[in-house]
Amino acid sequence: MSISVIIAISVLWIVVICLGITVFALARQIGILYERIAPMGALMLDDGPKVGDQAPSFDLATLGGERIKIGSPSTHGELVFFLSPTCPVCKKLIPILRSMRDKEKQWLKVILASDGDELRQKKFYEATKLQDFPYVLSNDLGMAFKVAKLPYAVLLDEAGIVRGKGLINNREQLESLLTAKELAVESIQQYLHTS
Amino acid sequence: MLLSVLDPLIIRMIACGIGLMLLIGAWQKINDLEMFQAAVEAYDLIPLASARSFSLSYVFIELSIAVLLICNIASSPVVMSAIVLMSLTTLAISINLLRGNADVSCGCGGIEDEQRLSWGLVSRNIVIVVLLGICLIDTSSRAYNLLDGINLLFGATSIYLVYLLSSQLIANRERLTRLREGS
Repeated sequence: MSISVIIAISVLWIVVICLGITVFALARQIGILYERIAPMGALMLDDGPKVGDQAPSFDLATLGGERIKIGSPSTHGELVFFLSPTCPVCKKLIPILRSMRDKEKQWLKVILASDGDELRQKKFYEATKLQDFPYVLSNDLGMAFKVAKLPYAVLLDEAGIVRGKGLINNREQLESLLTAKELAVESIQQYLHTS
Repeated sequence: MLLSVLDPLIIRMIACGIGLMLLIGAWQKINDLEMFQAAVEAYDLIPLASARSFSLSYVFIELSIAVLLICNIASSPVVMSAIVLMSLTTLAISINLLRGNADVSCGCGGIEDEQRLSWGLVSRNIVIVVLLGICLIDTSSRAYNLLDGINLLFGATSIYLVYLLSSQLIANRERLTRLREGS
């Protein structure tokens, strides 16, 4: 076999592989664009109490056995984070929630909320070591905030007013809720549209 | 006609390409076993208590098949095992899609972005099963030369790249749909 044929075919293959890698990189960048740039901040769904509305009030028992009030006026704000044992992204966000809770502990209380089979929830609660969070199980809570997709978070201020809410997939989206409250806007999406 | 022109090198190329796909998928699952276990739990097809042992077994089987496919050891039983593995995975995805439980990570591993369950994934897996089926065709063997080695190396890599690209496009499609729903 001629050495020139081997060289020619090798070069062609290398070109094919380089093109393949380039197309994959482009597709990935498009994916990142869809994921991060368009709905900057937490993606707000249009259902449930609107930002600025009084949140529905709940008095619920936590899995730790205490009682907790959500939506009632108090000395601190509340971040209600809706999760599920079957949601891998929710698990990934727990360390981020923990660091946010420690950073904002002066004024913010982070509450985890879910619903469904209690036994399964307890196993998840213990396996994921969530004892340091108030963890409530309530179908009505999710219904009241019209939670359709997980992970979802709602930020309430000290007066129980909804200050931010949305679908959360990463740290930036979680932090965008606090930023929206600081900027006194409905959502970062709305802020970007109007500014 | 197709069988008569099917060179054994093409079969090796397909087997190595799919082996590479399984190898990288298994590697990613080992790196983030917790995430894979969470995906297994989300499929809701096996008892929660056995999710950990199932995840470990799955990764071990996937890794073994990948290595054996690439090294061309006991090719027919290994290809059959790969077909069974891919078919069961596809069945699990289909069951969840049919019962409306699509909003979970597929747990596919690999370097492409995370994908949610979709019929696109099912179609992709069916193509892989068909390709594995081609690997079961008995062709005459022949001696390989240097050029065959080069073709095998780059051909298998190209097959893996096509898989990677299709997975990324499936992930992008789901994100675009979510974006449209949210806008």
